[in-house]
Amino acid sequence: MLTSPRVIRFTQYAIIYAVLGLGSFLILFPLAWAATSALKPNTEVFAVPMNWIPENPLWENFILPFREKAFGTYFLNSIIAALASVALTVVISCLAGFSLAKYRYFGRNIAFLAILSTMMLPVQVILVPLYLVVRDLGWLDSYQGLILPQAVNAFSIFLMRQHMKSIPDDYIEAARLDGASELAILIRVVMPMSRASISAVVIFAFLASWDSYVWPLVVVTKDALRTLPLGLSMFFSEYASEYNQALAAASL
Amino acid sequence: MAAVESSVHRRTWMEYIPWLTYGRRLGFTGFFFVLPALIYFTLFAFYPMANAVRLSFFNYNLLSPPRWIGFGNYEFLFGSRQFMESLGTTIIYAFGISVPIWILSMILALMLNQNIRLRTFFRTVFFAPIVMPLVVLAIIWSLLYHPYGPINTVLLAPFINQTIPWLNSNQHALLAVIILAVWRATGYYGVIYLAGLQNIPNEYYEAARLDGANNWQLFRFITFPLLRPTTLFVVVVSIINALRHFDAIWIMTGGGPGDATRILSVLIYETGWIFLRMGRAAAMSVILFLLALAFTVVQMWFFRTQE
Repeated sequence: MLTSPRVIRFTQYAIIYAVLGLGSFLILFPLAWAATSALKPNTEVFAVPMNWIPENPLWENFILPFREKAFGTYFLNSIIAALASVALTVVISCLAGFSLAKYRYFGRNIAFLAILSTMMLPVQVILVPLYLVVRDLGWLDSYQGLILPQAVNAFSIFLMRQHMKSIPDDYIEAARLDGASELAILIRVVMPMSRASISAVVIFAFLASWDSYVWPLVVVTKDALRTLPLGLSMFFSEYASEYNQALAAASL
Repeated sequence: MAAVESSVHRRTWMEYIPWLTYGRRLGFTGFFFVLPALIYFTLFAFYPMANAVRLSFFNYNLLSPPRWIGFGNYEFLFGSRQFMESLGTTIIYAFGISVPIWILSMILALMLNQNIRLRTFFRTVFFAPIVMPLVVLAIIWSLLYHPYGPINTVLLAPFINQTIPWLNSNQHALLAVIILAVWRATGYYGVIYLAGLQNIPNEYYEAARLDGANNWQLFRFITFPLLRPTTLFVVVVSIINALRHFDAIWIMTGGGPGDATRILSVLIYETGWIFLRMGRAAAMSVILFLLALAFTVVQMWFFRTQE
């Protein structure tokens, strides 16, 4: 049988596009469905055949969550927690990354391995004792208790260390000769050269904090300290049959 | 190194200590820099880890002081049908998520690595679920899985003529939460694989093509072996991540129906915070940790022997 290379090439690309297209459809379908259903009256959410464009968009669905629950407060708490985590992560991971990449001292490799090993630790493993630590510090139901224990991830230290290792020593030596202190070298020379990694670390820390659910669930009981994920899941369990409003709250 | 000290240098306190040479001083500074991280992880990871082991030998309900019971918690757990089933569910769940992810994310990366149009679009789409809060996705998916929800009425209706009660049925609930997890994470690991693929020099492929290798041989003898570090990372991280899943299951099924989706992390939370049996929960934590450790060690060993 004669099949020209062009035909083979064409079928290959056709298959690739078909698979990627199907995959994208499967990824986007739930999100699109949620977005349109949030604007429908409750009776139409599960209507068959489904309407992609709601006939009379009900924007009030978005108001109820704010009236029934303190979503404004939850939002603010989530923002505070995320920003604090980001700040703490940047400070700790830059310092530690610089130290682990560019200094030699006794126990450095052990310190690095120990920090790395915490990456392998599922939160649930230390959930009980971590709760007790926070309780003994008197931090239950407080911003410190909510934010600090889960703020810094060893992965960010690993990332900073790997990046800073790739910065040539010459820059650091040159700054040292000019009389810069070690901290100034980090802040003025090394950190500006690690902008890409720092922004990656910032994004990771922000997302991790924004998404975190188990720890706030365990440590917070006051409504005024709840974060968005907690507020959402509570709203969902109370209004489970108000599908449109649950989806509206989720879409926010 | 000491020779380069300049004369205009202002002395810091460390320089007044005679036995501190220049190199040692630098070392000390470096140590000071890593200190915040060490203190942080000691307080919030190492100490709690050690304390989890200690607590697992106690009976503790938060209210009265802990009471030493030796291996009592472990004996109870290994005699408990619920715990053993949960252990099994956890292992099925972890592999049920990670094996499809290994295959799908590698295929995804191989396709995205081709010279195709809309590559950025596809990459963004597949990466989108990982940046959305899991709680949001859990809410959306529990409605998708509703017996009259769109998965049954729109996606599956043309193929099967039956209403599947996804989250309410023993046989389907675990599959349902696994599908959500695979749906969410495939794009993330796909992007990691993509980064690995882009590190493979093109010359290897050109040389192999000159020698007459076909596409399968290119994959088998160049792509796959050179991706091994990436694969090791993906394999280890995806399993460890699966072991810490909690949010979606807690919101969608609460561990049920029956015990169908009660993975260890859910059982630990329930035992500790709903039944206030902290010692028993700590014992489960220790077993979960050993499980994670065992997976990691086995995988490291598996990938090492192939070298």
